[in-house]
Amino acid sequence: MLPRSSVTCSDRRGFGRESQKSRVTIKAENDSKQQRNRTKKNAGAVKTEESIPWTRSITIHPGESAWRPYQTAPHRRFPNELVRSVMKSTVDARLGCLEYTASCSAVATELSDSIKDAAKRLSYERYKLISYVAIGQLRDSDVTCSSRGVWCPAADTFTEYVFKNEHLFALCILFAVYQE
Amino acid sequence: SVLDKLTESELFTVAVEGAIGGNAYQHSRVNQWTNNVVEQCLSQLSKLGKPFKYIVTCIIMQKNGAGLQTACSCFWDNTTDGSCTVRWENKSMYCIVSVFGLAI
Repeated sequence: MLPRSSVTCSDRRGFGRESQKSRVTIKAENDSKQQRNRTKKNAGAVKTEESIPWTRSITIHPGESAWRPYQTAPHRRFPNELVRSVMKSTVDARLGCLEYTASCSAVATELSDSIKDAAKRLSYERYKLISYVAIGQLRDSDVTCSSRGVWCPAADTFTEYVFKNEHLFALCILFAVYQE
Repeated sequence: SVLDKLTESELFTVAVEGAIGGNAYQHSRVNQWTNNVVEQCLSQLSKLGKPFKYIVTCIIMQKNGAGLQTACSCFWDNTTDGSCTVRWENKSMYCIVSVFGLAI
């Protein structure tokens, strides 16, 4: 049976004393010698008001992530202008003078993957990305697109770019949603 | 309610039908229609009360013989996040609604 590891986070507070910084220690729970020693130490201890520790322990099983801190705001906000220029260069290079054919479905899929990969390479942490591409034929048809989201406007954002040549148009939108 | 028993795609089809069903394509109204479709879908999703962020995209295209292809690619957590795309049409227009749900 694999040993279980435990993460202990303790923040001692004592009356009349400055609080110590919290520390994180990782101990193996099945270390029986340490447990015996710990029991001996506590057996005769007299707890006073000055030395009451406040501890919280979390047991993490093997395979789970040891620590999952929440971060309500991003260190770096997703950069709209930079992403737009990246999208523009990717789309212009791929579509150029392309004509609309039935194979544009594969082109649309490939383009959405390229845009997503280019945005991923910018390495903005904790952002989930959705790349949406619509390629349509220019042929006297009216097309209207609108989108709306329920999200956190301070952290989440979107970037869009519309490409047009003589034969087709391409609407590319990249949504970046922050993971707290 | 009845809505609880519908799947997501049925829910969005009902929302689209409620927003633009029975209408012929009109250039002057299509902006408002796309907004209505998106808002109806979002309100249905909000009623579910789940801890998700949602993004809804709606494209309405006039039926004139032109082609349209859409694709999406996502970088997210496969176990918690998902999407649904619904295609609706009548005699004069196509409507494609894509909904993305990302867990908080």
